[in-house]
Amino acid sequence: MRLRSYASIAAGILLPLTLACSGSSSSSTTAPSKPAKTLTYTDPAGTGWRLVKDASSTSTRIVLDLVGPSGTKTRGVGFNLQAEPKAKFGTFANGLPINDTGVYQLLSAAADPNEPIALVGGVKPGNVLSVGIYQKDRAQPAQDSGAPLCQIAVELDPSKGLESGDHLALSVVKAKVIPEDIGSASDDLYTLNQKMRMADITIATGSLSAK
Amino acid sequence: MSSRSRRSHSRLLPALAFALAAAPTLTAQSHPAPLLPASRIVTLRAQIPASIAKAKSALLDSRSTLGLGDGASFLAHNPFVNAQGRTVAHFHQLYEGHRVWGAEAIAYVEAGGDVETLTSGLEKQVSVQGNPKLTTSQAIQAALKDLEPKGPMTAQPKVELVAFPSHFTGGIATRFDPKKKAEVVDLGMSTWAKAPAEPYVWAYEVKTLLSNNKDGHREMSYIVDADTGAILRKWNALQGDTPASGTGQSYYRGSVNLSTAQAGDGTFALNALDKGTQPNPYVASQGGTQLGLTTYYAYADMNTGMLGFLPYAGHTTNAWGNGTVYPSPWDYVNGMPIFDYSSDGSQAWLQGSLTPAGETAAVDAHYGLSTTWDFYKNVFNRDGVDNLGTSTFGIVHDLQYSFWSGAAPLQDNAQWSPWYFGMEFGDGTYPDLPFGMIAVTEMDITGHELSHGVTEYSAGLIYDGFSGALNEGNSDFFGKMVQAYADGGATGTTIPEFPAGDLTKWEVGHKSVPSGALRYMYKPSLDGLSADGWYDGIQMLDVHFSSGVLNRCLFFLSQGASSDSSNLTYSPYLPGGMTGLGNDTAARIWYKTLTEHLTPDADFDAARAASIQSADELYGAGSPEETAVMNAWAAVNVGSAPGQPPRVRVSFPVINPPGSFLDTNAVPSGILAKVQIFPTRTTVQIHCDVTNTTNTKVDWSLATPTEGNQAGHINPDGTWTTPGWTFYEDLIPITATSEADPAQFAKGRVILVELDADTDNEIDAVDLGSVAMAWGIPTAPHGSVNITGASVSDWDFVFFDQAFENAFSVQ
Repeated sequence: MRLRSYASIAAGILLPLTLACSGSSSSSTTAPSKPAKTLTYTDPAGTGWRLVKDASSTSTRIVLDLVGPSGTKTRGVGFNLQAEPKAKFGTFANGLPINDTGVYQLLSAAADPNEPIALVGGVKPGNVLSVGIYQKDRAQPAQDSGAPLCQIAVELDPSKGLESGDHLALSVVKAKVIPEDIGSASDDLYTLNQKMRMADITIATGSLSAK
Repeated sequence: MSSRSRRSHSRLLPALAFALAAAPTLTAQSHPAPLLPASRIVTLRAQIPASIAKAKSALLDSRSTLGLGDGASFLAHNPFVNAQGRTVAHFHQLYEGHRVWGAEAIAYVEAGGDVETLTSGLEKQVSVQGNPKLTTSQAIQAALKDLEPKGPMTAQPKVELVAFPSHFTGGIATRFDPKKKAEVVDLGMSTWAKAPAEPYVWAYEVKTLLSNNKDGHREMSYIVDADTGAILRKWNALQGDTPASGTGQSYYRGSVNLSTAQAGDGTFALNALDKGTQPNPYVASQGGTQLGLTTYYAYADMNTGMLGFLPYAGHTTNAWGNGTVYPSPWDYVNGMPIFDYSSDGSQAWLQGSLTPAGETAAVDAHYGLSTTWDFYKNVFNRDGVDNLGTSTFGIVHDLQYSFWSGAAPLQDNAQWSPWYFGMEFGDGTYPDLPFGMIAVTEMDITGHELSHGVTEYSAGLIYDGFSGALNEGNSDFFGKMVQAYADGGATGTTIPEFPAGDLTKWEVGHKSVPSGALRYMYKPSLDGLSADGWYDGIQMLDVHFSSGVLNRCLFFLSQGASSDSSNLTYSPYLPGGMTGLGNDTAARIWYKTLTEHLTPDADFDAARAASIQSADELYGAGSPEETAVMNAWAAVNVGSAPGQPPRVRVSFPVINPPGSFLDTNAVPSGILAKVQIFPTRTTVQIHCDVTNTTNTKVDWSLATPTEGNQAGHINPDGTWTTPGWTFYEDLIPITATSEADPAQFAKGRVILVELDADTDNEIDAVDLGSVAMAWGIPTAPHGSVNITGASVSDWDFVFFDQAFENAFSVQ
C-alpha cells in the first residue's frame, strides 16, 4: 500500500509540470496509471466451500483450488464465477479452464481411457467462468469434499489494461453439487426424481488484486 | 471428407499424368487415331489372348515401380478391340492369387503393339497379415445372420476370398423416405462395422440370392472379415431404378416389330434369337437353356413359395399385346395382389399377365431391350451386356415379397439383377396412386437397366457413393441415347438427335410417370432432391439423386448450356453457356470413358479426367470436343472451364478426426467426421471453410421433416443463433452458402441438443451435473437430461461437451 502511494505521488508531480508546458493551468489531474505486473490473492476465511490459492500459483497466474467442508461427501460440483472484465481466466494442459485434481472418479468403473469424462468449462458472455467436474459412474462412492476438488486459474493479461492497485472482484453467482444420495437405479422413478437433484451451495471467494 | 473420397480425389493426379503422357500436347490440336478396316479388327480380335499376355507382362514388369511387390499379379477380364484397333483389357489386381477388392488396372495394347497401362485404380503396398481364420462356411453363416432370410435360399451363396482394402469398410446408406419427403439414413443397409486397424485384411465376398414369396427377390452381397466375421461392407447388388415403370408397348410407341422365335409346333415366343449367342448362365444353372434375348413373366410356386419366371411362348399368331394397359393387379382395398392360377393351382401370377393387355408390357420390354441390344451392337460394336454375346432376359409383371400374401407386384421399379444376368420390370401403381407410374418398361428405362449390365462388365462402377452416382447417371444417359436411336428408326451406326428444344426428351420416364418424370437430366433439381452440380456433402445423397451431376454434364455435352439465366439449361457455374456436340459425339466420348478409362471406384474428378482423355483420343488434344468436355464438367461444378479462375469452394471441416470418441465409436468410421453439435437457441459460430475468396461469409439453412426449415445470415462476427428445436436424435441437414459466390455451397449435418439439463433456463457447466447423475439410467427422471435418447451414456457426455464448447469457448 505504501509503495503504491509513493508511486502515485511521484507521477502526480511530474504530470502537472508537463501539462504546464503545454499551456494548461489545471492542477487537479489524476495520477498516471502504472501497468500491473503481478497478481495477488488472499484466501477467504472459513471452512465451507471456498476458493483458495494453490501452491502452484505464480506471480502472474493464480491457481485456485475449490475446497469444500471436510466430511461432506459429494459426487461433483459446478459453479459460475463472475469476474471483472479485466480478469482473464486461464486454461490448463487439458485445454479447459478447469483442472481435475483426481478426487472425483471421472471414468466409469470399467475405465476406458478414451471414454469421455464429465469435465467441462468455458467462459460465458460477461466474463462468467462456468466449470463443472462430476463423477460419471453413479455406482462409485461419493468423495470427501475437504480436499482440493478442482482448479481454476486467473492470469494477468497485459492486453486488458490492468493497473497496479486494481481490485478484481470475484463472485460465485451459482454453484451446485451432486450430493451423496442420488438414489439407486433400482429405485422407482418417483424416488429417483426426488433424489436426483443437485444441491445449492455457496462458495466463498478471496480477494484478488493486481500490483 | 471421408477417407474414401480422399483416396478417390488423390487418384486424379495419376489419371491426369497418364493423359498428359498419352497426348503429345495440350495446346495444339493433335490428330486422333484413325479407324481401322473391319478385316484388321477381326485379325486383332483373334490376337486378344496374345495382347492380354503382353499387357499382363507389362503390368508385372511395373510391379516394383507401382509399389505392388513381387506377390502381385493380374487377371484379365472383358477384353475388347475398339474401332481404332486398340485392345482394351481390364485386369483385376491379385495378391497371393486372390483378388484385391475394387482394385483394377486397364491396359491398352495398340494395333502396332505398344502397351500403355492405367494403374491409378490399383492398391499400392498391399500386404495382408496371417491367414484367414474363418472357413467359407463360417463366412456364409456371418452373411446369412445379417441377411436374415425368411424363406429358403434360392441358390448356394457364392464365396470368394479377397484381399480387402480396409478403407472400403462400411458405408452409410440412405434412402428416400416418401413420408418425410427427404433422404434419411437407412440403418438396415448401413454397415456399422469398425474398419480393421490393418490397411488390408483377408475377407470373403459373399453373394446371395433370395427369390421367394417371403423375401422377394434380393441379391445382397457382403464383405465378411475373414478374421473376425464382422460385416465390413454390404450392398444390394440389384441395381434398380427408383421408381421406374413401363406398361403398354403401343401405348407409347405404336406398332413395333419384334424379333421372336418359332417353335417346332409352329407357335411363337418372345425370344430374339439374333441377340445373344451364349446361353444365359442363370437359366443354365436351373437346368434350362436360353439362347437369345427373352422376355418372361413372373410367377410364384404355391408349393415351395419360391418366385420364378415363365416364358411368353406358345403364341399362335405372333401378334402380341393390344396396346392397352391395365391397372396394377393389386387390391388396394384388401391390400393383396390379384392372381391368376395354373390349372393345377400350383403356380400363381399376376392377373392379366397372359391376356393381350398383359402382353403389352412384355412387348414394351422385349422391344426396348432388343433395341438397346441393337444400339450397343450397331453404334459401338458391342456384343451385348458383356460383349461376349451372353443372352439376357427381362421379366415383366414381376413379383416381390409381400407380408400379407406372400407375393406382390414389383411396383414403381425396375432393376438389373447381376445374378440373373437379366432384368425385372414392375407394373406401376398408377392410377391407383396418382404419383405412381404406368409401367416400368418405357424405352429409356429398359435402356437404363441393360446399361447397368454394360457398366458391370466394363468399368464395374461400385454401386455406392460417387461411383454409384456415375453408374446411375451413365444408365440414364444411355437410356436416353437408346430412346433417340429408337426414335430415329433403330437402325444405322449413329445416334440421331431429338427434336431441337424438346426438353421432355431428356426426362427419364416422361411418359410412364403421368405426374411428371423420374428425373430431369437438363435440370435434375426439378425433382426436389437431385443435384444440379457437385458440392461438398453430395455423397450423402442416394445414387439416384447424386447422379444428377453426370446427368446434367452429359446433357450439356450433347445439347449445350444456355447463357440465359432464366433458361432451365442455364448453369451458374458456366454463365456464358456452351455449345453441345450432339448425341452421337457425346455418347462416343462417354462410352469410351466407361469402357476404357473408368475404374470401379471412380469419382467425379476421375470421370472428368477420363472423359477428357477419351475426347483427346477420339478427336485430338486441344480439339473443340475436348473443350466441350471441360466446359460440360465445369457447368456441373467439377473442375474449371478453360480460362476460368479457381472456384470458390465451401466445405465443412473435419470436427472429429481419427481417434476422437465420435470417430472411434461411430461406425462406419468417419460417418461423424464432419458433424457439428450445437446447443439449441444459442449463439454459436459455425465451422465452415471457404477458399479462393477473401469474402468468407456464408449463409446457413437447416431443414428437418418435422420442424420445417430455418435460414438466416451469419452475423458479421461469424456467429449465428441456432433454432429453438429440442431433443434431436437425428442428423439435421445444414447448407452453408458462400456470400461471395452463392452458387457455391456445402451440405453437412448438425445435431442440435438441449443443454439446459436442469431446466433452470440457463446453459452452464452445472447442467453437466444433471447428465452425470443420470448416467446409466435407462429412463432419466428429468426429461431434459437425456440428449441422445435411450439411457444416458457416454454419447451424452461427448455431445454435451462439444455443444458446450461450441457455445462458450475459452477466451
